[in-house]
Amino acid sequence: MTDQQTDAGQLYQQVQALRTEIERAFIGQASVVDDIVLALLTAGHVLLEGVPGLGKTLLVKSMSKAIGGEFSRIQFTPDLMPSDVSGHAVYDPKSEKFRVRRGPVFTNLLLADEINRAPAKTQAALLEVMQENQVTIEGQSAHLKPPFMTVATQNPVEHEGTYPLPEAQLDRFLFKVLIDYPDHEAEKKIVSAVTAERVGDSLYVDDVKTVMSCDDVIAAQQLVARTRIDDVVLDYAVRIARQTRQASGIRMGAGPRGAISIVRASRACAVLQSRDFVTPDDVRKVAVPALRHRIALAPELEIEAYRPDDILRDILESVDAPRT
Amino acid sequence: MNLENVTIEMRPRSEWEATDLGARMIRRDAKAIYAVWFTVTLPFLALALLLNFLTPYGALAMLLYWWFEPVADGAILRIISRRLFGEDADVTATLKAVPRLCWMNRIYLLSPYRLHFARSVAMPVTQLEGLKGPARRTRSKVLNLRIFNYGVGITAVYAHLVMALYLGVILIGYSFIPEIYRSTLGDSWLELFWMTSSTSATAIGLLSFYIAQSALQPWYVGAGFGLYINCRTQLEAWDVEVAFRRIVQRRAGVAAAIVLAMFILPQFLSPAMALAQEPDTEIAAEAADPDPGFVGFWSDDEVKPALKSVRSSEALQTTQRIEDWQRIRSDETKEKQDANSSGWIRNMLNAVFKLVSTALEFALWIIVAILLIMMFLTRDRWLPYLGLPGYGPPAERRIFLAGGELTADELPDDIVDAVLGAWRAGHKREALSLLYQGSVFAAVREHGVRLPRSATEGACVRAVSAQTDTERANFFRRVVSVWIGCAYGDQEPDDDAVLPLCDEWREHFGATQ
Repeated sequence: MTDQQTDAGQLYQQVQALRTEIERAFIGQASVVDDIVLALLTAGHVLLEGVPGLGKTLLVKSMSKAIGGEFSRIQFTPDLMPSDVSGHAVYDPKSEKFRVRRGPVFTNLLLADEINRAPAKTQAALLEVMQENQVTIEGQSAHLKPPFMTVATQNPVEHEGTYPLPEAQLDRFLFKVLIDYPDHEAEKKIVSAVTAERVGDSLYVDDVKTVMSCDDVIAAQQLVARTRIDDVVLDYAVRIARQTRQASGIRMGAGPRGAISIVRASRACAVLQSRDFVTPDDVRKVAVPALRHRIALAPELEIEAYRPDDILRDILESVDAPRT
Repeated sequence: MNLENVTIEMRPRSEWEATDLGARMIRRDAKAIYAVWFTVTLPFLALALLLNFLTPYGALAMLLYWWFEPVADGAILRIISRRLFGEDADVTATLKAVPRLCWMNRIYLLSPYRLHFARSVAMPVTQLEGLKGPARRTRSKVLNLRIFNYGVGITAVYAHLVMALYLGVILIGYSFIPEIYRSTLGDSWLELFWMTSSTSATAIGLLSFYIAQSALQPWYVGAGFGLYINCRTQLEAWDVEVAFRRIVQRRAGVAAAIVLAMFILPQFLSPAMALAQEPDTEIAAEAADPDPGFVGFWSDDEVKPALKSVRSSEALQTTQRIEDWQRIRSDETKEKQDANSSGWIRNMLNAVFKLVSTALEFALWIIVAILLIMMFLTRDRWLPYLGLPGYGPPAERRIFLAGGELTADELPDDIVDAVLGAWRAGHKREALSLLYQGSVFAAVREHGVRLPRSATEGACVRAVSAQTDTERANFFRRVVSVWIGCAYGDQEPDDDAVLPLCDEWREHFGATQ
């Protein structure tokens, strides 16, 4: 067995442990945890959509602790300025110089809470950071320390006074993850865990252990990048993305970045299952979260309360799996 | 039939008002009607279900149930017709009359008349008037001129409603099946209930149809009866007769008798009335018809003296001189010319319409012929679904794997031998591909596993796990695991991983080999 194989085996175990640790704090949402871990391994960003009170902050905090990384949270409001996100220069009277004050984006895991409450200019500042992994303040560029991941949230029910993210900016998120209410048993566990010998309702992540370091995460991301994908599987991912442009009921389909996201995420999906090659099932698993924010439904389907997931499932049924 | 005892208001109605009247009559006696309906139809349903489960002719059982359903229609018709004239129509008597009603309605049970487009308005002619043969056809012609189209309309509306309700019942039932089990039942509810030869699915379909039919069938019969009664009311002026009878009751005497006779006379001369009152006495009517009230209600012995007295009465002996003004037209010639020209146009239009109607009729017959030819040519596809003797079971489910159809021709007769041969020859990928495809094929053919059309390896594993036993599912999982490693990971397994799979293959999938 080579050293590389040994390292890979270790990383597989660490990734499994990471998932287990997050699930310890974030109870009853296994698929959401999977998607978030996939995004972390892919070095992608996630748009999390769900009503308030489902533990979005807890999710990011627990993941931050499990990888031993830094965590920041920005509450997006209509008066938030781009400099509040990225940082700004302030004049120091003592040294008579401008000193750069770094914004909350200088972290490993950033929670951008209710991103659609801030104006487009502020949103754009964050999205630029997400794309470039660097911040420019007063003409000076500063690279973010990897790993860097943004988890932006938005509320699906309150749209008054919001600034919906344009399609071009939505495209920068690897995944759009929908978070729903937990089932009865899971909710019982949550209530029990949060209230047992606890004062107040603040978020506790004490039980979460650090199972990876940031360096391990970077190594895992490199392992994901090396994961083998057969040409027929790659072709399958591309066919799915292209089908969104031809399927009836879709006003605007996914661009090439859709297929790129599927392939990147499917590699991570393989690693999450301790495999060093991608299968068509990996592609199918990640296709919906990778594409649901990249397509726009036709008005008649929106009126009939269809969701992008419905159409994407139909597309997955209609696109033939690869036959080798 | 005694019109004095009629329990509805006798008056000419519009056709749709008449169907509504029929529906109201059904509602009035719903309890007795549904008691009779369920008593008559449930044994047929039970028989059909029994045939479905005990014989391979499930579809035929369904057809037989549907074909003999008019037995219950006759019983419903008896109840509402008797109640219309204030006669007793209890459930027991009606049930006793069912065999006789079946015999009377045999034309709708044992002949293509079962497919009559306006059966609900045609059945009363047979059952209530006791007519058959040419008499029935002549009588039907008279009635059909007025109500056939509406009868067809009722049938169309009824058929659509039954179908909607039938699908609704199936969908409601299907919506209660947990989603995790749905994939094991079929790709869709349509496939589950219509495209399958499963006895359970046929039974569920039959029960759903029975529920839908039970809800609507009495209303269908009632609507047809309403039309029939309204047609007779208009043709035979029953409303006028009822009014005169009331006058007779109020004023017994010669004058009233004259008026009554004046009304009666033309009736006896009309062909329609003669057909409607074929049997003379109530005894004769009872023998031919369970509803004797509908046939003749005055015998010749009663009518002849009345007619004689009417003819000899003073009222008919008087002469009356009527003077009237008549316009003398000055342009008679021109009128004749107009008449001639309008006659020419009329003739031309008649010729055109006749041509069009002939062409349409010809086209319809061609369509019918084409349909029959198509049915004949495609008989091998649909006859097996009827479960008729001499025809094998329906074609086996087609297997689509990863976008292509997997047929028996593509696979060798002995999968294991072929796999081992390819493996030993060094064609490891081909060997594993064959092992995987053979396993999928056998899972579908031998164990009835249903796969979605775009099934990936993972989808196959899930389907086999959900639809077969644990050991077979575990074996299949091992096959898939080895296969995907080779297919997508470029990992060639060693002999220790593959040869045991070949050894065990026949334990799990070799039934057909």
